[in-house]
Amino acid sequence: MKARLMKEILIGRRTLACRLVSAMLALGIVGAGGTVNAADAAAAATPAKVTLSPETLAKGSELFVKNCIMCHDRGMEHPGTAALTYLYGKDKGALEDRDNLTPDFVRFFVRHGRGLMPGFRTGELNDAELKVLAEYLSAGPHPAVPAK
Amino acid sequence: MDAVLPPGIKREQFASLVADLQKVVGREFVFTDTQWELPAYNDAYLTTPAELHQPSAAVAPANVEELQRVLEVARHYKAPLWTTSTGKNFAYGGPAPRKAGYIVLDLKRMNRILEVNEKHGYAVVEPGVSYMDLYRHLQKIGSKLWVDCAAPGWGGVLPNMTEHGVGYTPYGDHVTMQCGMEVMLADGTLVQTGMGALPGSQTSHLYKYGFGPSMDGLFTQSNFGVVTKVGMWLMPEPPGYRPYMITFEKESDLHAITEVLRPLKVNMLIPAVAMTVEMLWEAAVQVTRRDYYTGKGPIPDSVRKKMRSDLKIGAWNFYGALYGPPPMMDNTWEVIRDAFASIPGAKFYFDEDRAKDDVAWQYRKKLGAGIPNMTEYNVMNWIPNGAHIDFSPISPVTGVDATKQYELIRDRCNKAGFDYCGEFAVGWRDMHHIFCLTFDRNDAKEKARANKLFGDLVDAAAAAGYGEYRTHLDFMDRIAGTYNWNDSALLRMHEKVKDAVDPSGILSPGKMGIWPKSMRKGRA
Ligand SMILES: Cc1cc2nc3c(=O)[nH]c(=O)nc-3n(C[C@H](O)[C@H](O)[C@H](O)COP(=O)(O)OP(=O)(O)OC[C@H]3O[C@@H](n4cnc5c(N)ncnc54)[C@H](O)[C@@H]3O)c2cc1C
Ligand code: HEC
Repeated sequence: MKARLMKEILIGRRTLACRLVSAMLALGIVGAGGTVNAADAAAAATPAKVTLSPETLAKGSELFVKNCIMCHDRGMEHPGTAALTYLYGKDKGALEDRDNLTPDFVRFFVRHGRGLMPGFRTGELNDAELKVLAEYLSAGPHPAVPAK
Repeated sequence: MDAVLPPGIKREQFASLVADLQKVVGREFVFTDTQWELPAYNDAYLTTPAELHQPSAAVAPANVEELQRVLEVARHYKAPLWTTSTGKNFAYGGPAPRKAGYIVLDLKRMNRILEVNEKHGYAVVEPGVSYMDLYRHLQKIGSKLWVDCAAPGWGGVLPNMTEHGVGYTPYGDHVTMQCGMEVMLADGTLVQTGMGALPGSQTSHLYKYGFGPSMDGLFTQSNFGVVTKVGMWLMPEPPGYRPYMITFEKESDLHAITEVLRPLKVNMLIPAVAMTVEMLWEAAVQVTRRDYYTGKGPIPDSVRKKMRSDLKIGAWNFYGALYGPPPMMDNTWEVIRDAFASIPGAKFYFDEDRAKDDVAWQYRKKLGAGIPNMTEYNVMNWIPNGAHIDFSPISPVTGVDATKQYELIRDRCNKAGFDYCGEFAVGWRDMHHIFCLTFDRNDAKEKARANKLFGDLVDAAAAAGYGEYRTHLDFMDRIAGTYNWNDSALLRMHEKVKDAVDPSGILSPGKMGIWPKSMRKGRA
């Protein structure tokens, strides 16, 4: 039960079919150096969707543009989007198009990284900022940002 | 992961050290949590166990005053710090310290763009300013100055320069374009080098050499101080920019390409760093290995051929760009085209000849105009959980050297079961050969093999008279050891300077193989 819940939260129901990631999770090989296991992230998960204030959305979008968009913008020239497309399939690669991200899932990956994505240091993206960013992504999908 | 302590410091001492750091920067900017805070201060692309580079803490001062007090605390406890700025030194160690237990000195919060001088073409930045930050700022203020960025746009203007990093516009040799530096010594003294030492100087960022010995070089790739500010010359947007690509059919064309290229570079017809890129690099940024081959070991030639025709790339792919007024570009192009046309099978491409979704072309086109992006990280998508370290020896710009280097690396690489993925970057008179050694970061055996291969390459290159321009944390001592002429006179001089400017040995011990006296075990 716990393992199933963990998978659903970490991978998102719609992409559960992705065997590669499931296998990685089962083997406990997510995260830089494997210092926090996936269950820790899942234990604190809050999957319920909340409606965010316009200020939080704007701040979240700004943080996404500053820290993430260079790898996660739409288009295969962005390594994050390319990697997630290889994992989940065509048109499923861009984070802002996702409707199945949760704050704890995002927080886990931002602090620990996975594959070629290194974790983000608290010194560059603090916990308060990460909270807003994670809420923003969990409130997706978001329409394309025009200028970057 | 268990908590570690700084070398030579006991648990109680560490607690009071952390408390003292908190007094300086505030509680929220000292990081000690091993679950959530410290993992990102390690290197995501290690070939060695993560324990070897796990920091005990990280501290992030907001300004030079706080930095000064952080150094005071470190001196008091004789605690080793490891300086990082934007902290994206991936392929060479990321933000991770040389040894476990160091405290990472994270300067990312010092991220002000202090000046943009449109008239004279320069910017003055603090350590935490990324290429992306500077680019966006210039766009915002409507500046007509270009950034020159390394391939990863999240890297830092200041720390990439101090690492002798390279970009892809005519201003790509970053150390050459640096003018004016502020540096804090281990004792807390703030120094302005060059013209900046004159109070009220008007030329701190216009004339590099100042009066007396030029000190700036002492603080690049070094642990003699903490650089807190630099001036960087920025290129004014040229009246025209026309990037081009030339593909070559045969692996053995590398010799001829390099011979044709040398006079073009020396005579400055190709103003930016000239890139000869091997086909696998081109492929890796846009397709994956399993798209083409699921067997073990290096990709066979028949498959490589198929990739070349699918992606419209050559065995070698040359990237350059014309800059200037159109008539000048037209004239220069004739010379370049005629020179390369002497190589049978050469094909020439401009922007209109490459597809809009040609990932490799599009990012090179951006880099040539200093538009920061992250596309090159795609090379690691070649395999699942890909990570890489760079092996980067320097050689003369000759066909013989290029081929010798290529074969030296390719053969050892294939023997060790890895794909060769590399490029040659020609600067003023030198050639950087960048070999991107990609491995699965979740496969301990493969990592150990990559580590062994890298060490063998260091030795083989040194035996052939080639030295590296930069390296990963794990190979700093080994490579410093190859620069050993006259009984390691250079290293011994570095150590003398280190002991003089940082007697407590607090700044990045072991950086580039330079250790303070207290940590030079087994060496005089
Ligand atoms: C796919 C890929 C492509 C790459 N392409 C390029 C490229 O085109 N060109 C290139 O140059 N590199 C390249 N790199 C290497 C590297 O990622 C970049 O050089 C990057 O800019 C370095 O990280 P940074 O700028 O964030 O520096 P940081 O990580 O902040 O610092 C790097 C090092 O500089 C020293 N340092 C930092 N701050 C200071 C300071 N204030 N005072 C004194 N010393 C300091 C420290 O020893 C530190 O470890 C590439 C890497 C990858 C993975
Ligand atoms: C250097 C490029 C890069 C940057 C910058 C980056 N990422 Fe990633 N990210 C990736 C890659 C690549 C993957 C896929 C990793 C893999 O192969 O397993 C990924 C995966 C993720 C995932 C997992 C998605 C899933 O469903 O599997 C999340 C969440 C994520 N990134 C969030 C972020 C956030 C938030 C930021 C900004 C703070 C960010 N990333 C910045 C490259 C990047």
